[in-house]
Amino acid sequence: MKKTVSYIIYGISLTGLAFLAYLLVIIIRTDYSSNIPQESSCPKKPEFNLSRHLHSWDKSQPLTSFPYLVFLDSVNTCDIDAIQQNLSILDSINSGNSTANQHVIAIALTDSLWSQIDQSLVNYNPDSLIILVQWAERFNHYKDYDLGKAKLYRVVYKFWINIVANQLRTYYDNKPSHKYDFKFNYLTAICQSKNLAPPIGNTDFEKIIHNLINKNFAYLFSKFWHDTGIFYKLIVLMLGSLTVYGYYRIIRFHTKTNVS
Amino acid sequence: MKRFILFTTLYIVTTSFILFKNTRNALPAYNSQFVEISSVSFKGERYNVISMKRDGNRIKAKYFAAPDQKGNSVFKRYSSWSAGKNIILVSSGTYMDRTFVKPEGLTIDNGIPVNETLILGRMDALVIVYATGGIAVSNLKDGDLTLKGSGVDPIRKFNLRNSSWDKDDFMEWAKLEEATVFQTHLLVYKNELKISAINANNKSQERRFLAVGKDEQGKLNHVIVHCPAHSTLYDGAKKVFDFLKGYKEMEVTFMVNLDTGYQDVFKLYNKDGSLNQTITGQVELSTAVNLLTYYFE
Repeated sequence: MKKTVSYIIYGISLTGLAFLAYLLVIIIRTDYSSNIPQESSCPKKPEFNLSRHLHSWDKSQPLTSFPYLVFLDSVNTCDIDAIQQNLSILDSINSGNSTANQHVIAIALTDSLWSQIDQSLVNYNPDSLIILVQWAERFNHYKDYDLGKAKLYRVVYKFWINIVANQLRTYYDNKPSHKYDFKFNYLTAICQSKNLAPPIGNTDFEKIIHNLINKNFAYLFSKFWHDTGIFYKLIVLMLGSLTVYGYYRIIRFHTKTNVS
Repeated sequence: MKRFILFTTLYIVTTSFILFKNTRNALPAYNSQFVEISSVSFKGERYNVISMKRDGNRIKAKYFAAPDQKGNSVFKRYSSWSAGKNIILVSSGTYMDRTFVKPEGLTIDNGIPVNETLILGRMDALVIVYATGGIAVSNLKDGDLTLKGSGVDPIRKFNLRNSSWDKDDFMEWAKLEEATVFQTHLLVYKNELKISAINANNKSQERRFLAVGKDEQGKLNHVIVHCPAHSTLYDGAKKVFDFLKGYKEMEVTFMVNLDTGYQDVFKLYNKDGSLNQTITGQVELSTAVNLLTYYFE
């Protein structure tokens, strides 16, 4: 009988050890590095004269005829003065249509720019996203100072935070354990604080833990009862019975030892 | 005696989670001419169906997406709002995010942004719940959302997914119109199945869908279909779409998914206000971070 008790104890211990090993793998594989890239100042670029490239710009269709690629290749996108100068050029050429001109610059700094850099973000690279957020954050500040162009700055800023939030989801789909990484959580927190929460859910295991913490035992039992197959139920029942039997044998063993 | 105790204990343990679901406050009645609750077998599958006729604008929808400014939870807001109203049903709407406190995707509650993240690629349905009680869905992939009111050009097409400028204008419109919006999976649009078997979540579970379309008489119907048999999102959507077309002879304008996962809440009421057990959620209403309700006025 002692042998039986030992086997049961070994069985329970091994199950526990396997679970601990699983947690250990998650802990070991998590990236805890917290060296956030420092925000750098905007590098100088040679001055760019946009007006030379606007000969074929059709003012009746300003959004579709603007040379976005030329603009992005030449303008210093982190230099707000350069962006404003180019906007002034558009306003002088297409006067009285300031909203459309701002819309043109907005498209350039959002969709056009994204189509140029999206491939560089395919692989998990949180540092690039952090630098992107640091760049986008500037526009969030500009919108409070330059109210006439607040919409332009807001559109650019929110577009990029939305991109970062969705990119985090893509990384999570490729490797769910990324969501435990420090930098992943850093970016998630930034997005959440801007009311642009990354669309990342919880795994079944996390939901179970959350329910255990919140003492939703009835729900857990209900889920187990309704949403699992007979095979799963039998395995859980068998493991449960083994555990209960193991404890029963241990208690009996100790009771008998104490009595003798 | 031992057997009696054993069986009684087993019975209580296995049914205790259901017992607490039946308690509710008595509610006023609704007109059963507008609501039909049925259980139907079609091609070997059982479907629990609630059909609501929208003609005459007697049946209305309302959506709660976030706690109010006083901090009252979605459940509290619903509870105080629903007092004295003729509630037909209340259900979870879209999914919740990892914080367990917010719905996933673009969500606006009475003009107030709850979550401004527009999910790109995965969820194509933008559901707009109007103050009049109507529901409209736009396919974000098509980028042809049109809006009315607050000085918006009614022929302008908003492409929220590909134009941040349009999204900003839409947010402004929602604020002025106090609109309520949420994002979810688009399963059927303009009588065409939109979900793909490749990209869809392959978890097998009970499924619940909201479909809106015209019945065989050409009248606008809002239908909630519950499939108790476990299926993947794709299989469930395909079966229900076949059922709606084949059995209900319905032309489906759109069909979206209702969350039956972590916030699987659902309560259905009879015409006299008593609880109907045809469809029940597995958790209490308070678990949900967003609630969609239909009521009679």
